[in-house]
Amino acid sequence: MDVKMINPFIEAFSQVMPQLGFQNVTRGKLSLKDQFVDSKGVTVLIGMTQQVRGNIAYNMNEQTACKFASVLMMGTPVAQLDAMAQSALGEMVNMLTANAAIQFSMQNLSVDISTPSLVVGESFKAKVSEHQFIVVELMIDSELIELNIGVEKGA
Amino acid sequence: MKKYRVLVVDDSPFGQRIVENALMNSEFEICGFAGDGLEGIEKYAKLQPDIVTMDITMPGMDGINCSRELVSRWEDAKIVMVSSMKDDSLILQGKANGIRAFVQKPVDGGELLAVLTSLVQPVTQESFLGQYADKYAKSLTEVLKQLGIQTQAVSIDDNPLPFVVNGIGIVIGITGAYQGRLILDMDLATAVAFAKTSMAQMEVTQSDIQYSVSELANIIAGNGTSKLNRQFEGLDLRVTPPSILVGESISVISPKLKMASVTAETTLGLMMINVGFTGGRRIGR
Repeated sequence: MDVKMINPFIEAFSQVMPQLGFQNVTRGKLSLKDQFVDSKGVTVLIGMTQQVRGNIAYNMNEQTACKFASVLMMGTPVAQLDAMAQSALGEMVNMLTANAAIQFSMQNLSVDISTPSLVVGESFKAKVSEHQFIVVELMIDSELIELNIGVEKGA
Repeated sequence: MKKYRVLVVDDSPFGQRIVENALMNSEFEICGFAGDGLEGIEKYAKLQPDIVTMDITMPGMDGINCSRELVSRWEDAKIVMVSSMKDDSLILQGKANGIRAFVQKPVDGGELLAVLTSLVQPVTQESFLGQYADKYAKSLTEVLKQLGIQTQAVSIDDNPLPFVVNGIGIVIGITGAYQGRLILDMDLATAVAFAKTSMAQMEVTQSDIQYSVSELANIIAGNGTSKLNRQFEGLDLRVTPPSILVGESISVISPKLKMASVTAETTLGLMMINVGFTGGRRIGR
């Protein structure tokens, strides 16, 4: 897939995370994969249709997921990923992906997004595409989130 | 029960008969026939039907011109084109002239009824959320049947527990007037058996298994979603490509979704679909 396709997602983090109360978004390692990626514990899957089709996995450990949920919930301590925290995390991924969809629309690519699914387990692996996809790490303040992006321009 | 009144505009007695047969014992009744466009306008004025089926090629005024005239006089006129031709340019032309739906001859009675129903009954959240599980369940059994796999029993649970994937789970997102997602799950033994059967091979690799189960999910999601789009006008649902999950006891949590699970006992083992949608946005024309 075209590496430029990841830019709207990075841009979405840069725009959305500061609004939610995070200070710094920095990009880390980037790689091209075609095999399964081990989940770090919490993986949020969301899909795109129309002129950009594919899936994105937001992969993080439970501690990071709780930290995100806590910031989203105005600093309420979150010790475990309960229903409220799950909902907050789903909402964050929704906001990020919707923002990426807006970035695509600014390139005249119309995009619709599906509802997010939170996938949680001790040990599982996921693959967002049957073709190649891009794995990029982002540091949000001191929290690591790994994006698996498998999207292609459609008709 | 009040029946919806249908005016059939078609120059061929055979064409008229086919629509008549399709509507027999349904919630629709034919209130009149017209053999060309001019007569169609006359009859519409006199009968004020709930809905019109419109042939395109007719002597004198054709179906496109008749539709334009009807909509210009009665803007709420609900017109369904029933024609031997159904191509992109005809559909565009028809839509531009107020035709709301298109059915091709030879008419499939079930399809015509579904289209007529979608026009007289607006999509309500209750009707959509009450029917989607059934559509995906049908799609699952039809696809398996085509692959020569027997389904012994199918059950639908409208209020399932949060979904847990054991083995291989394929996640497909759904976008449109309702946002949702579908998961197909089966254990590894069933997945191996499915890959062998569908590929007609004695030995299969890990990637054969993933591709065949992904493709099964893709077809079930695509067919079920098309059924919903046909039944409910304006949904414009689309599916994402599949994502694959592999592992044991993987919880899939979807906040805000109204979900249903479909369990199929097949000769190869248990296959489960979990599908859910959010409340949805208003569907505009």
